Formats: sequence, C-alpha cells, structure tokens
Amino acid sequence: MPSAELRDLVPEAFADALEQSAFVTPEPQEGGERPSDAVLASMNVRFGGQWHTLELAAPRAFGRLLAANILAVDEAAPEAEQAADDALRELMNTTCGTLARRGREAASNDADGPAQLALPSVAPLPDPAAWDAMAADPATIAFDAEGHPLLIRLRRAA
Amino acid sequence: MGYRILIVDDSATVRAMIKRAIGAAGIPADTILEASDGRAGLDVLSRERVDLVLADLNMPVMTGTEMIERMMADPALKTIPVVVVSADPNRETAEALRNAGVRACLSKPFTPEQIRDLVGPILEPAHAER
Repeated sequence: MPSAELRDLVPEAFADALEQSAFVTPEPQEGGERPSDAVLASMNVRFGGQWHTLELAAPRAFGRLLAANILAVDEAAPEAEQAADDALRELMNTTCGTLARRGREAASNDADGPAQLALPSVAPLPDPAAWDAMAADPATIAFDAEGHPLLIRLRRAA
Repeated sequence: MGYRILIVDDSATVRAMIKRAIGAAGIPADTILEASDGRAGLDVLSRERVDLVLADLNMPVMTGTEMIERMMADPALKTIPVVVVSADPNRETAEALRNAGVRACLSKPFTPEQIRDLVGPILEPAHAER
C-alpha cells in the first residue's frame, strides 16, 4: 500500500484510538491557536516494506486530559500530571497499531510482510516555529479535542 | 477466594486501564500484580501464585513474546493461562502466539466487555482446578 493511502487512514485510526481509550472525540478543524507548552509524541511503524513516523503535536495539557480520563481522576490531580506523557505514548501505540491493522486489511496482499511497531516517545516541541511548520505541512491534519489543538501527520521515516 | 492476576505492560496508564476494565467487567480478582516488562513479569511469577497473565508484547528490556516463550519452557509456569493485550497489528503474530500456548489475543484499544468475554471463560476452569 502506498504511503499516501496509508495516510488517508490516519484520521479515523487516530479518532478511534482516542475515543475508545480516553473517551475523547476529536473534531477536524482549520488551524487552531499555537499552545505555549506543546509536546511532540512520535512513533515509528514499519508498513509496506517502509518505516513511517507518526507525529502528534499537542499541548501538554492534552496529555493530562488523556491520563485523567483513563485513570478516572481530576485533570488537576497529581496522578494525571505524572501519567500525561505515558498516556500520550499509549495513544500513539494504539493509533499506530490500529493504522497498520487497517492498512493490512485494505492491502491487496501481504507481500511486504508483517507490520512492525517501534516504541513511542514524547518530548517538548523545540520551539514555536516547529508547531507553525507542522501546521503548514499539507500532510498535517488538525483536530480540536475538547479545546486542545492537535496536529497529526504520517511521513516516511528518514 | 478471588483470582490473582498479573498485568505486564510498560505503560502504567495501560495497567491502570486494564485494572479498571477487570473491575468493570465484574471479574472477581482479589490481587492484581503488576510488572513493567517481561523480565519483571518473570520475576513476579517466580515469587507469586498467579491465575492469569495479561501481557503486552512491545516492551523495553524484555518483550512479551520472549517472556511467553520462557514461561512455556518452564514446567512450573507453562500451565498459567496467558492473554496478550497488544497493539500488534499482525495476524501472523496472533497465530504464532496461539500455537505457542497463548490462550487469547486482544487488540488495543479494548473495552471492559472484551476483557470479560475473553478472560471469564479462561478463569472459570482454572478456578475449578484449584
């Protein structure tokens, strides 16, 4: 399956992973305000004989929202703060797994072998320009999730 | 007496999610043990009586696959039922795990009902044998 077709599966795989694991429904949106404390979650997935990188830029508070919903605690609770990055990593893991599963179901054959998942990571987004550059990338899809602006894209790994 | 269940996943958030799903599914567990990778899982299994292992695959230090292989090679551990809860997208992986002795595979994301439907029938006979 070409990368472009796999990219088309990203919005639904992301929305399903987010809804089922953290009870949050993302809505597509144009642009969105740049957050002051953004993080970049990323994960490599090998599919169709090629490694791809799934990236999610989000405010740090979005990780707290995920953790709070999963752990059934208040967003301001210390547990939500401690689990914020972990919750983002798991969202990436679940999204990549869903994406690769659906990609394999949609592909006409399995000639390229099994998909592979690497370990996800989360790091602070280096500077505001990085958010703007990702937002300007035509491959990026923008969402709003309960007031949090999100940017997600899939690209061939370097 | 409730069941003793070991959850092996590198994500503390996922371990909490599975614990909550077990409770919501009405599975009578009186002890939930946790490990953050396969090696830590084997360590728990060497010390504790466990009725069921719920294991992820994609973990640092020791993967779930390696942990399961070691369990199946150990006469003291090979009878403990294992359910894999993973984002792994490959049918081949699930088939290989079942051939290796894994009782069931559940894809993330999962619901409490899916946990109940998979785990309930596995635990009931295990409980009767005790």
